[in-house]
Amino acid sequence: MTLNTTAIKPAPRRRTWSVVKGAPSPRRSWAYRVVAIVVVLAGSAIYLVATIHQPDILPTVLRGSFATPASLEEWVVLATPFFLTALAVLIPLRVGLWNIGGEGQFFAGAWLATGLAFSLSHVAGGLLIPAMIVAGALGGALWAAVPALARIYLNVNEIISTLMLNLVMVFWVAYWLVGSWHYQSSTGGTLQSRIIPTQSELPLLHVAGGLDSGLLIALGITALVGLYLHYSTFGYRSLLVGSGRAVALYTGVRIRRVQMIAMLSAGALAGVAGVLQLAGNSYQLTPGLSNNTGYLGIAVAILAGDSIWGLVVMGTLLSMIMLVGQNLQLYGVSSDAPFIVIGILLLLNAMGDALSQYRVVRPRHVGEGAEPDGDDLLDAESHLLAGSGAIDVEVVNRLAGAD
Amino acid sequence: MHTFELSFAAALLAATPLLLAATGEFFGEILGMMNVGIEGLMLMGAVTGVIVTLHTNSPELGLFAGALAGALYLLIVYGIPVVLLMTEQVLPGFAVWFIGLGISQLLGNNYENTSVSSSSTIINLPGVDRIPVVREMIGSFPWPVYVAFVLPFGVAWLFGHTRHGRNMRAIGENPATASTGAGIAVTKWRLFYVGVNGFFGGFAGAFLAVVAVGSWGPDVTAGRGFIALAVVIFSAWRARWLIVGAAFFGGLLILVELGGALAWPISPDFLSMFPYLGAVIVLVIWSIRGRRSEQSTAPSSLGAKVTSRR
Repeated sequence: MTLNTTAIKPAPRRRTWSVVKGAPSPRRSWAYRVVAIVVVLAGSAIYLVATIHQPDILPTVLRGSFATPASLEEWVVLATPFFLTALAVLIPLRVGLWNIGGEGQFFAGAWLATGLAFSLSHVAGGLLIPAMIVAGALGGALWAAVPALARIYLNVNEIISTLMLNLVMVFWVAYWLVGSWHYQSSTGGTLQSRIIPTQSELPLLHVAGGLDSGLLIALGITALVGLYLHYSTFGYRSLLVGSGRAVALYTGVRIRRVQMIAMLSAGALAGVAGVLQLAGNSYQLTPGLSNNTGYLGIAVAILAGDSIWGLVVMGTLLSMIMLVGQNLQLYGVSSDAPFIVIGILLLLNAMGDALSQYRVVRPRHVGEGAEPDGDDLLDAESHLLAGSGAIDVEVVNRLAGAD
Repeated sequence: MHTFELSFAAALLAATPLLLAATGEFFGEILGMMNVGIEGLMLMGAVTGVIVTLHTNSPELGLFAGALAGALYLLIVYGIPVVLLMTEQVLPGFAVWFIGLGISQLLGNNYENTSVSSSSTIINLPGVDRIPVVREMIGSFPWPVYVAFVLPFGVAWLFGHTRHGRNMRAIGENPATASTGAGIAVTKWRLFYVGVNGFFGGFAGAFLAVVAVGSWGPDVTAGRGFIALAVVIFSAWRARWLIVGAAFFGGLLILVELGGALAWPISPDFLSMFPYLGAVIVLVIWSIRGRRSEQSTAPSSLGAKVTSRR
């Protein structure tokens, strides 16, 4: 009996440029992402110049957004909640769940913290502020617990349930703003609560620019979560759960437990974002408190691609887009225009991920190097990995330290 | 008192956009494609519908334009990545939502709160006007309402009783096998039904803005696109049950107005929550029921990424 030596064929010699399908590559996918960002930003700049007939619009807006210390501080303040609401999407995504409820969890946290600040208005700030942050985490986690339990134990689609609870929270907050927390402003303006007690406001780092210490808290939490996901057993288990039921069952990870922790911590983080925005920035509960960061956090997390560094970069980038969008409203650009930019980014990102499994291979001539070279081995490897259903290619890449 | 008859009619009117959008989504989901961005799709249909109606003074043209815009929009933003590039489905769904939100605002900026007239679309059902109670309940509606409530029967027949419909179900169960095993043109039909999905989603949005509300506003859909998604799950992928689901959520949607009109001792904010809370509760109850029966009625490949075309 002879050994079947043709089981693994060497990759055929290619006469022309060709496209080879293999494992999705994180490096290629990041390259596509960068290209997408550049293309989208350049495209929006061209669109602006073409539609708004004002020759110096780009320099004016960019200078207005980034040239002065005050505007830089505004950028940073705007970015603060993004990091946390993005984490609230990123962590569940690691375990294969979509948390679209960041917006609702944000308000659940802010609502509970507002209530606490009003009812404990005599307590000193040193106690009240930490208590509010804990309350915010608790509120967000509770609001996330409902869809989490429904998903994990009853297999209810978490995309729809988290989304629906966002809308429920909108009316819940409105109920309190119309009711017992109502504040009638002198201008008779929009729905808003009374101002929270002065000692519950976060200290300002720089009084003139309105830069509050919420940024430090948000960045600190982001760093801690990043380290925890990277070094803890939970971080490792969450990767296993996220790579599929079979892998998790094989390795003996308690799937439900890991998924539950991921969803609850996501809710807590979004809730804390709500508290930071409340106590650091607006000092009152309003329906516009979140500035849509609960939804935009989804985009940040996706563009970050399961990397904390990516999350910080993308959070900063998206808040930049929002800031420029805000400043462009003076020129009659609608307030939701940044959503187009971010939507297109998401779309191109998804396409880039799909394309990242293809690579272009240069032609080689017959006789050029008889021994199989690195490319051939890579081909064979990716064919093997992509062909067998048992191994999740993404997991192999991730566990091989490709993050 | 005509409260019952009038609220029944109002609920049907509120249910119509849900039913149209859910029917569109149903087409897509039967072929295994879940679009979570119906909200953005409806907004695109709504803004196009209002603009065209204002310029042509014809609500029919407006509705048709809204539907066409929806089809084109969904084909570009969802069809190309999901069907042709075989990406996963949730992200393009979000893109449909975000881009639709942004573009519709950009287009509709100058048309906000300009009211459109759609009285010409109202038809009276012949024969019904002599029956006293039924007349108020279902006798006189804009024609899309009747279309919406008849449509699911046609859809049920298409997917249940025709060869083509069975083939489409096969795609939803397993695209690879449908393609290689049965020789069905998977890519072609998936693209086609993405267009159909967009057509009805856009039509739903245009109906909502042009006929039901009578003007464009950026919050005209107010989460109805997501409720439509819940309606499809409510139906457990049986077309005729779309009607029941849409009527149920339509009823919840009019509770605010009903409570206001009858001076119910409950905050309108709580009444406004009911459709969304109701959707979550329905999903939970359906899941519990689904766990008892062994087999899920959902198409097997729903939401799954297609890995190879052949």
